[in-house]
Amino acid sequence: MSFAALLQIPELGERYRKIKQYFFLKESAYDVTSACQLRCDGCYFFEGAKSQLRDNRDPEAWRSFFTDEKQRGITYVVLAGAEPALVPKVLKACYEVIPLGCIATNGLRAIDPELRYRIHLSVWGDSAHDPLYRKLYGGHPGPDCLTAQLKNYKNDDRTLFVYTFNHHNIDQVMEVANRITGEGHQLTFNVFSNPQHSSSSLKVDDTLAKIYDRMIDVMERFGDSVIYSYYNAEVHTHTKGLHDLFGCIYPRARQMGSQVKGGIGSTFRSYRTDLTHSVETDCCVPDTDCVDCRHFAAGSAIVTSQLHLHAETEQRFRGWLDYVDSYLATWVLGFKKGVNLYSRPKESILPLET
Amino acid sequence: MENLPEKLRELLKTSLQGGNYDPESLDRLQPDALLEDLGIDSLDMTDFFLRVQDACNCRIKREDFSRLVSLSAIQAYLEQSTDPAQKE
Repeated sequence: MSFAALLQIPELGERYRKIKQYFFLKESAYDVTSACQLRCDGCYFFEGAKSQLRDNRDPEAWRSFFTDEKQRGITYVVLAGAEPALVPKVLKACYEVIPLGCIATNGLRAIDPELRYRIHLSVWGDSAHDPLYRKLYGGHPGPDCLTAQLKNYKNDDRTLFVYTFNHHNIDQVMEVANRITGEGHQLTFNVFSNPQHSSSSLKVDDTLAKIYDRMIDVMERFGDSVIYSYYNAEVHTHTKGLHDLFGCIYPRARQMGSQVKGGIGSTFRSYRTDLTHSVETDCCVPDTDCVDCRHFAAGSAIVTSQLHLHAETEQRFRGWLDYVDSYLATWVLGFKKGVNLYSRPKESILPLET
Repeated sequence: MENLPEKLRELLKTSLQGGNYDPESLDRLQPDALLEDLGIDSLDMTDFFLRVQDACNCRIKREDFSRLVSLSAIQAYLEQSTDPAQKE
């Protein structure tokens, strides 16, 4: 079926015109501080050498830096760390230059409501288990973060809860989803990806099928409160990671030999707390083992960039439209996800053959 | 395809509709001008190549995208393509 014919299908043409307005997004990521109240199992910030750098704590230096980033063509920022809520003046300086973006936070400290960024609140397990992952500095169990998150962000329309599935927490998601949706919030999913230089007990290899089933259960039970699609679930729980399914467009992957070009491959940078970056670590979660990458952040760029591959058939195009629609609702404040155009398949359409 | 250069320009305009592009710069676009100088997003370029495929009844390989840097380069690619697998 030709591309023109695909766009003649009313619901597909309509959805494509809706998401096409956001093709201008050019993202980069910024670790704004190395300070954090917690030392969570599975946290990538404290993997590798970047946590050892000397932070630049001057908000005016960050303001000048973001001005340069804007001039470089960056239109969307992902602010993370360690814990970005601990540097409110840096966040404000960024917002005053580039107001479109997202902050990834543990939610233990509220972020200024004047900063109209998307706020991603990370959740690792239910009330009994979250403290076991969220260790305090020194190794003691931390708080049940969800209780603090729901308190700090009550009635806050910026928020999206991100539940990261790992090997052990698959059956904990229902309690979490009940609590989140009961307060009127939405959630989405991430899948834990192994760090580059160590093997974590959180790795999900033999539990992918179970994670897929649980994702579908939650989607079908909580409806519009879940920003996800059947195709998202299929992509992120396939036995092949994103890298093997689609290649990778990030500069880090290209530097290591990936042949996939275009997209954010020429503009994306992952800046560290001292305002430096290195092409060897320019990807959304740089200390990940690429073979195991299933990050929701990576998928947003990798799958979106594969329009050409997905325009080969109607079913693939439906999946791509749902995926991009979900990614925009996840990352862009105010973007509303539409109904799923791709139905739950009897068999996966992945991997996509060319 | 008749009048290929003009057809390519029309398809490009269609692909860029709704985006943050200057219509006058598209009208003034020289055949050898680099498309990246217009700041065209890679997804909009993919959209364009898909429409060109449809219009020309041919296939543009993903790995060839990066060398199709101008309207004249695209025209040359389409005119020189003799691979039976690239024409349907």
